[in-house]
Amino acid sequence: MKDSGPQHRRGSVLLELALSVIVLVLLAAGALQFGYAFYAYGQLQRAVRNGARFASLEPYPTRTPACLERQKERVRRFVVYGDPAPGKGRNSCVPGLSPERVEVVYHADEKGVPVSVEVAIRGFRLASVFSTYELDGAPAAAAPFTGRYAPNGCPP
Amino acid sequence: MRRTRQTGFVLIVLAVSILALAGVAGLAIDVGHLYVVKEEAQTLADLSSLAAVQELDGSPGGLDRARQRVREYAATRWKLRPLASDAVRVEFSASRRQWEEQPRTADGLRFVRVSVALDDVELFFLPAVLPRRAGRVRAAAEAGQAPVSDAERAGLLPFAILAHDRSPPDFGYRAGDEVTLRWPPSGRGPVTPCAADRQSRWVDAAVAAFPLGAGYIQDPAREAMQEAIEDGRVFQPLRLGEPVRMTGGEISLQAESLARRARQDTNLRARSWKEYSRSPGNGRRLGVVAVADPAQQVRLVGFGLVFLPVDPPRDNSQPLCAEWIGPAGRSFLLPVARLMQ
Repeated sequence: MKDSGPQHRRGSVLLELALSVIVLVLLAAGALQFGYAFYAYGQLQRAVRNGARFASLEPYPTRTPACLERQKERVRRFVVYGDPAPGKGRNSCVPGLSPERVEVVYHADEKGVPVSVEVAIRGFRLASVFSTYELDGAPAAAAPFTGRYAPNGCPP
Repeated sequence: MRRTRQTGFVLIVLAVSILALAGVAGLAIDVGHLYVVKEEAQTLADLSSLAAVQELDGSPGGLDRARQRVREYAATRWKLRPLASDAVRVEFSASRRQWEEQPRTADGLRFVRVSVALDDVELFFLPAVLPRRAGRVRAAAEAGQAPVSDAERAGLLPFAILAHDRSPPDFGYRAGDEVTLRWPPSGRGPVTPCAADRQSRWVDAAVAAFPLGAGYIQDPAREAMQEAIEDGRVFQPLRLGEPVRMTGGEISLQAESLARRARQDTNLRARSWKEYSRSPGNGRRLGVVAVADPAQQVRLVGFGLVFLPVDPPRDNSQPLCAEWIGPAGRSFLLPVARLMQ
């Protein structure tokens, strides 16, 4: 049987340590990666739900297409910042999310009266720790419209 | 002997570390997954309960439609594993104290509770360390037809009606009275306003106080008139105790704008407030009007809530009428769904 001296033992321990560190790092990275991705998706789900609810209570102003677009922008900001008119330096609910990545669609009946409003995340790359996930159309939420129909209204 | 013990120690430390980190990673993934499912379930509960509560109208059909709205929402919006048949529960209540899935009567029910119970949420790692094989998620939401103030919902109409009695809150009117929003112009025959104003004393008071054909009280320009009627825009502020400026303006345009506003309501069938309140629409047929005292230079004495007809007459010789509901400023029930919990 071959005798293993202190030199050889030290090498084995180093090798074991290196292998174990790699395994441990991979495990830790996996936990961070998926844990954060799930957390961020949950935050987005909550944000679109609150956004749909907010849009359903706000007026539906259709004096001009620009007025409706302004209202949609208020909803988008609410989804991203939790505030339709956020101050400077306000953080988004999920890092990297901007109002352009939020889609707001009002569904109206044949008379043009709004009946529901749908909010979804479109074309957003959710950056997790090591990779990104493309979110397009999800998460999404639709709420029955219960706000005031303002055919001649226009948000400031 | 010593060498063997050292080698074993590294292996043990490694095994324990890997197990501990695997546990943490598994926990992060499983708990994260449960969190996402919980948020999805909460969205389903919140938004389907809001859709359902709009259907409650005191009839058994309303309960069926409410259940149907929840089923539809779950079928079209739930993107995770298919829901078990008993995963979503719909209950009704009149007071939020007692909830029933199959109430004996639909009368007075104005709250809906949607509960989502998922007992088979996939767990990927936790079963290795816990006896549980699947996760449980619970979400529930209660929505109700909340009282809203008429000013919040109905908006101001740019018309003033005559006070039959200057004392609030009803100014001499009774619920159901047909009030005159705009008086007919002077013609050859007798002046015929709406039913509540037909007595000669009210006609005489009107003739003495303002030119016939009046009733509109905002900017009479064509575009402004449309905005004032259809969107409640106030160009000239109204102050209690100050005279109201009653003008005419294009009557056919006023009738057309009133009709357009009324037709935006989701209940066009109701012919009276009584019918409407049993199955309310979105409130576009309601409006707050100024009440002015003809004996005091048409001074503003208060506000009243009126119910608009769907199709007011376009004939210039006719008055524009509405139904008196009661004094403004009170709250009433509309299917304005609010999340209670």
